[in-house]
Parts: sequence; structure tokens; C-alpha cells
Amino acid sequence: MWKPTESRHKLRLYVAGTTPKSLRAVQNVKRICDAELANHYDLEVVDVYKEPGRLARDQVIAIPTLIKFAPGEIKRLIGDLSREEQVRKGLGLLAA
Amino acid sequence: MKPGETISINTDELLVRIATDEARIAELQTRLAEAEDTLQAIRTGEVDALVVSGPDGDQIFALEGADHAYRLLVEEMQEGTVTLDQQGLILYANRQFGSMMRTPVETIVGSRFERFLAADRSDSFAALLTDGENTRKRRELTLIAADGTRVPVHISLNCLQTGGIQTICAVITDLSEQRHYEAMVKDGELSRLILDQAAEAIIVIDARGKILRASESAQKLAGRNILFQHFDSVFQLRSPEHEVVDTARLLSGAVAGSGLKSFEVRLLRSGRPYSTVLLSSGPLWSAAHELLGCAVTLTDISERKVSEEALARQAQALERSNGDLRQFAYAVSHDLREPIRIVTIYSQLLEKKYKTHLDDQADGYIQHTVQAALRLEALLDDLLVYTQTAESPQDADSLLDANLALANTLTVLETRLAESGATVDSDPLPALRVDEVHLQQLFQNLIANGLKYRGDAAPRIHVSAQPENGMWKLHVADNGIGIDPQYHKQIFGLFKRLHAGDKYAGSGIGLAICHKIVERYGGRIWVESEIGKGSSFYFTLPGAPNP
Repeated sequence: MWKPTESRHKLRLYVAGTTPKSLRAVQNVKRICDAELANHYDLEVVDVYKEPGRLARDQVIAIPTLIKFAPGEIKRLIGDLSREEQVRKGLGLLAA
Repeated sequence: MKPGETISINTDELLVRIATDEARIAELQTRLAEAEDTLQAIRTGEVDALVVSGPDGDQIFALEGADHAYRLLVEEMQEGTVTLDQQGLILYANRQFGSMMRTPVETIVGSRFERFLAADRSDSFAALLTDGENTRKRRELTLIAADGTRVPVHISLNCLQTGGIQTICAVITDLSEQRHYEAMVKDGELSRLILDQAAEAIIVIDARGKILRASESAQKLAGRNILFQHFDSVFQLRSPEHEVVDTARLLSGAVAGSGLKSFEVRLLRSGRPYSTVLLSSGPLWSAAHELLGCAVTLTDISERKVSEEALARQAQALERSNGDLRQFAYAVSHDLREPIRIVTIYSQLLEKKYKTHLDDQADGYIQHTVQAALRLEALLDDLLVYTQTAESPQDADSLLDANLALANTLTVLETRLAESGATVDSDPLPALRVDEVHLQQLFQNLIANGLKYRGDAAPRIHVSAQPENGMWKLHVADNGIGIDPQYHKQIFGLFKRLHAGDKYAGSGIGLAICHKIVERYGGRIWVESEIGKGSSFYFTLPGAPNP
């Protein structure tokens, strides 16, 4: 489990409406974060159909994309986030 | 490398390896540049489809696809939509749902639906989601928005298998507005009683013009049941200028805060003449100061209108017959002049030529005839002036110097003034807004009056003026025999004479003419006098602004 003393995880997930991979991505990121981080994370889900303008800001070229802004380096994860080990690694939740 | 191991490097071999590495780096750089170019092209919208490798071969994903229309529909529809998984996690929500819950959509997706439920309701909602029996479910329940507002909704749930996940699609309809109207309409027995007993047609419409309540008399006015119909389709109203008066106008008037008060409109009815109704309307506001609709009152004044019109017609008929009478009086006085003139001339000839040839009795007869003929002639002249007073030109626009009019009058009366030894003097007079002929007639009649009804002393007549209530009051005073106060009103009537014909010559029309002229200009005329103390005639006329 992530140690609460460290800073909160700041996450933004880009999805595209109700496409299957987007729905799965939401489900997966919630499952992993709830299990590992409990309440110590902020997740914003951006629907690119509602706000196409935000794509350029975060340089997103594929959907779904999960961006971890903190802690540590900015890290991008592309796909429906079903490969759990890779996601944990990307979020810095596994010992390297 | 282990300690103690000697390093032996062949320089040639090293150079070859470096060259190979450099070549690989160059190759990688080229590939990297290519990849960056590709990404750049995708990012800047230079492509409109992507090819994605899948287990069944390559799939093409169009960026602006056929589902675009559906996406828009879902995003823009009036209902809220959310996609949940079976645990109640919100995987998707449209904008409308966000605004219903007064919560940014970004913070809704990824959270749990139960956050919008009252604590005691979340269990039953969870049961609803996992109930596999029915794939379609409908409920009415109350959601709680971020700011605590309770939002009554109708929710329709639909279980779907999407991309390998069991999801539940919910369509959520906000019922607050509907509840609000229901509450408004339900508002007590009192309003029903008022509506049923009101003599006026009272109609309550919502902000879209639908009739929510209508009084008995409104139903009667429409001739049918009008509940829940659109106001405009029931009542076709036009202003007197034929402008359409519809709910858009009533409601915008209500928004502007200016409800209509007793506005006369025409109610058009097919196959029947229109009715005239008085329309009043006032806005209905919610507690949150939203316009819920209008209360409209229609009062049928057709009957009143009919009697008003009848009255107007009578007035018109009266005016016409008055005109006819004037015409008749004019024709009579005009046409009679010629024969009377002949009678006068010949009776005067008779008097002149045969006065001494006949006996005294005959002389007396002839004298009477001559006098009567002269009087009749004078009478007709005055009558003619009187009838013409009403026909003369309209009120003068320009100002007339009353001093000048008086001077002209005195010129006309010169001989009579000289004969009677009268003196006429005046104070400076104002400019008046009257026709010169009229003012001269006034002066002439009143001054002649002073000469005619003179006492023993030489007649003295004084003319003056002073402002009174935005008009000018003119005063013609004489030192004549005076008039008994009991006759002060009568003397202005036609043919009113207080003295027998012999003593004072005159037709009895002069003051009636004065009265008529002054009335024409909205003024009044009266006399102040006592027997033996002279007479003061006053009349008011419009003129130059008072000082």
C-alpha cells in the first residue's frame, strides 16, 4: 500500500464517450487506485468529446490515456489499463 | 570484466565497432524523426483515420465517424445519461447530468452514483443495479445535487453488455419543473373557488403557453374545454391595430415586469364577429424568481362596446339633424330675404307716394306694414349670421390683435356712435386665437347693445381684458339701463328679448350669436348687471400665453 505520508497522486484519464475501452479504463484505474491508494489520490476523467480543446494541452494522441502528474515524473499510460502490473509500475506503486 | 584480466583491444576492431554504432545511431535517429513526424501529423489533424492491428487483422478507426451524430445526441439531449458498472461506479456521464447535479462532469466520472443518493436510499439502489431479473427498470426517486438541492427525477435503467463489461445505462429526467407546476396548480381549494366564481375569464398559462387552469367563464368564452391546450390555439387575440397578441407577447411583457392592464383586444372567432375583450396579465414567479407563467384575465366588453357604439351613432344622428336644421334655417332666411325685400320696398313706395292721398287709417296701415317689413328684414339678416356662425372657418391658428379688431368694429359702427353721442374707450387688449370676423361680431353686438339699451345719459362703453385660467377674459361695460339678474341666463338664448318690440329695435339674436361664437372657442360668456346700473358683459377666449 502507498504510504499516506507521501504526496497525493494526481491523475488525469482521457476517455472518449462510452467506447468499451474507455469504460474499461475508468473501471480499471478506479480498481487499482482504490486498492493501492485508498483516498490518497485525485482522479479527473476528461471526456475528449466534451472537451476536445484539452487534448492539445496534454499532448494526447491516443485514447484512453492516463497521465500521472505527481508524485515524481510525469508519466503517460496508453490503453485500457487492463495490464495491471504495468499500470502499478507506471504509477510508481511497485518497487523498481 | 574480472580483476587482473588484461585488456587487449585491437585498434582496427575498435574503429569498425565505432563505425557500426554510428551507423546504427544514425538509423535510429532517422526512425525517431519519422515516428515524431507521424505523431505530429496525427496530433495536428492531418489524418482522418488510424489503422490499428488486432487479432482479426487491421481495423480502421475513423476519427470523425458515423457515431458522431449519436454522440452529439447523447451529449446535447435534455435528459441526463450515465453509464454505471454493476457496483455503481460511474463510467460515463453526459453534460446534462452534470448540470442537473450541479457538479463538473470531470469529477463525476470515476465516482460512485450513491454520492447523489440520500443515505437511506443507497442500498435499495444497489439492489436495483444487481437485480438481474429485469434488464429494463424505471423508478422515480430523489437525487441530491452537490449544493444540497433535492432533484426529483425519473430514472430509466437499461442493462447492456459493452465491450465485455456488464454496464447499466441510465436515462435521468429532471422532474423538478413538472413538480413545480403541479404544486402551483394544486395550490389550494381557494384558487379553484376563485376561478370557478369569477365573472371574468381567468386563464393560468405556463411559460410555454400551455393552459394549466381556466375559470368557468374562460371555458364558456372559448366554447370548449381548453385545459392543457396551447393558449394561442384557443384564443386568437389582436390589438386594435391588428397586431397579434400571443403568449410570447404576454410572457415577454411579464418578464419586462410590465404586466398588461385592461388592454383592449379583439378576440377572433371563426364564423362569428369578433368580441371585444379587456386583457390583463400578470406574471407568476417561483420562489427562485423564475418565470413560471402568467395569469391572464379576459373581460368580455362586447355588450358595453355595442351600447357605446349605439350612443355614438345617436350622437352622430343628432349632429346630422342639427346640421339639417342649420341648413334649413339658412335656406329659409336666405330665400325669404328677396320677397321680404320686395315687400319692404313696395310698402315704402306706397307710403311715399300715397301718404296724403288716402285717409288716416290707410296711412296707419301702411306705416305698420313698412315697420313690420323692416323688422322682418333685420331679423332675417341676424338669423343668417347666426346660422353661418357654425359654418364659418375653423379656429384660427394665428394670433389676432384684439385692438385692431375693436378699431375695425368702431369704424363699422361710426354712424351709430356719432348719432347717439357715445364714447368708446379701451385698455390695451391682448392677441387672441380667434377668427377676426368672430371677434368683430362679439364687439359689435355687445357695443350695439350698450347703444341700444341706453339710459338718459350719453352712452359710455369701456373695453378691457385680463388673463384668467390660461384664457383671456374680455370685459365690455356700458352705462345703459341694466338687466334684472333673473334674466342674466335667458338673454343668451335665441329670440330672447326682455322688452316689447317698439321701444328697443332688435331681433333678439345678437347675444345668441355671441354665445355661440364664444362656445366654439371653448370659452364662456356671462353678464353682471343690475337695473339702472349698466351692464358688464364678460367673455373668455384663447389667446397669447398669459403673462
